[in-house]
Amino acid sequence: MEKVAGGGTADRQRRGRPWFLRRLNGMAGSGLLAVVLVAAVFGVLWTPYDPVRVDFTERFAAPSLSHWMGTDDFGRDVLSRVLAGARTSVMVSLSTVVFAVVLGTVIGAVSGFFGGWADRLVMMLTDALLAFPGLLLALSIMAIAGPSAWGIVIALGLSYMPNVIRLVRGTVLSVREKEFAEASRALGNSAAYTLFRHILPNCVAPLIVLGTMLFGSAILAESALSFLGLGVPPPAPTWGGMLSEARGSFVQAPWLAVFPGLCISIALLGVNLFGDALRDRLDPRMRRL
Amino acid sequence: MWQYALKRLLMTVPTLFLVAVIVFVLIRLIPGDPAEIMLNDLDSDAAIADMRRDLGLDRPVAVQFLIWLRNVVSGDLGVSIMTGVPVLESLVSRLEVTGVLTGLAVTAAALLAIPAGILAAWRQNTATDFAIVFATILFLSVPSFWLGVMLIFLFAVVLGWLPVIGFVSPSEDLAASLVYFILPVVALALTDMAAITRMVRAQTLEVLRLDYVTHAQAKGLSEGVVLTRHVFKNAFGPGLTVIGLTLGGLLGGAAVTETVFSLPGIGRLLVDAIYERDYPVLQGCLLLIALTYVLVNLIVDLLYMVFDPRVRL
Repeated sequence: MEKVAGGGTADRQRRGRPWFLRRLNGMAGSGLLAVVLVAAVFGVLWTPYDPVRVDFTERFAAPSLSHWMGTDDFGRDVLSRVLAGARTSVMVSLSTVVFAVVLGTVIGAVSGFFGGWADRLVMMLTDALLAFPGLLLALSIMAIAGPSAWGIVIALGLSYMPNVIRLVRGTVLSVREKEFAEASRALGNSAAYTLFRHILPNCVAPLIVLGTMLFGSAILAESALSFLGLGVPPPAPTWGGMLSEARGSFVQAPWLAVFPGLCISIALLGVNLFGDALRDRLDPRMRRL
Repeated sequence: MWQYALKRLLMTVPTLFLVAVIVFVLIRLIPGDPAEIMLNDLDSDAAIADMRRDLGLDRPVAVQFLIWLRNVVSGDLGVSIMTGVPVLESLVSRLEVTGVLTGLAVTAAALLAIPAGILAAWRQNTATDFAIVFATILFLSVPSFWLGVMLIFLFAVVLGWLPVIGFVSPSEDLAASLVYFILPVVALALTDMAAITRMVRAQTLEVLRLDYVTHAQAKGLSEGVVLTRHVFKNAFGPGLTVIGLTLGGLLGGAAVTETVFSLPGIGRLLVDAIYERDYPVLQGCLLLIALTYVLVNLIVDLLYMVFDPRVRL
């Protein structure tokens, strides 16, 4: 795409953003993402206080040196809960993306490569699943499964899978008839070998871009589900759950609502900036934009 | 053109059928016997067996599905387990709030996003463009439910300009009703405004580098004329598609927003049905939202055809 020589206007449009801003995007994104990941690791290894320990002598303490983000209505330290929430959020979202990408890639690749009635069935099913907008499918699966961390992974994974299936199937379909795929078959390689060795590597770059976007969506969806009380059940701290609990008392203790929401926003901002930079780098079709 | 329209119309039939199958399967996957859920523990086994026969649960699954489908198509969605009110009735009574909320949000988002997207593309790589792109990334990163809570805190609690939480039906008192809708619409529209802006910007950039735009510019037409007559017309179609998808996303996201602002809409009905394990109501909400989404996408595709005669299947 880059080598294409163009006339005045086309050239001007293709140039894209100045390098320093593109790098700034990526740097800011990776920086914020790193903060979230470090917070998640802290959430596992060490928090200033026990995130679920109740201390009624310390209820609604405003942010101070001993409690940087204050305490909630049970006297629990908000900073510790935010760190533990980062762990929950990152682990659930990461598992969701892995689940959706792995299963979706297998289904999409097989469906696109072999075609036939199975392919038509898969396409009809993904179409029907995509008819449930936004959180709707995840909400209904959570209604059946009841609130749990694995429930979210399966519910969100299943609602994201159609996107992965469509992407992989589309790429496989367009690459299947290329000369190098034909050459591999002509050399007597098995269908599976051709698929995994020669065709699927073409899906890696767009899958990384999609996976990053889905990771952001999963963080948002997990906190929305927890906010509705259909996520990871209490007392395990989640950003969405903390925000939901804060609704009853945020007039007297606004910090309870401010910090968890800020964490979700920072995490999403990191993922979005990083995803943008990644797409500029990996997806040549989007590079000129 | 009519052939395409007919084809597109017929394509929705298998999708709707599969949507019905998925909803049917989801509801059947719920652990427990519906007859036992509807009766209480004190009822005898005979009563439960009677109930099972009345509900048709002793018939084969395929027969159950066909009976269920016939009822759904004829508008019989059953009655709520909790209140005994017909599901269709409660859906209709909740429709107004969600309709007004999503309608206002989509309109506000589109009206701001389309000019912003075109402006950013037209001024690509300038401070204006960067400001708009940065704002969209920022807006996309703020969850609507947090924004909602913060807006309530700022405008209702600290400044006291708007009522904290409450609701007046638009058909009763339009002015009073709008006051209650301001914050939910802002919270709901901001994210989607950002998404539409990015799409319109990308699409406009695509169109701007086409030869006929250069040609129009070379003819000496003013920038304004080129943008409105040549660029906007061609960037509009894909923008419309995103607006359609957005409307669907809003219906799915209404559950969260309506919970934050305590609005009695379809989303709130759905969430309450999940809390109360009121499965007929849950099933009705799912069917209604999915049906609306499929129909909105159908309408968008047909409109696309009107705006862009090049579309053929």
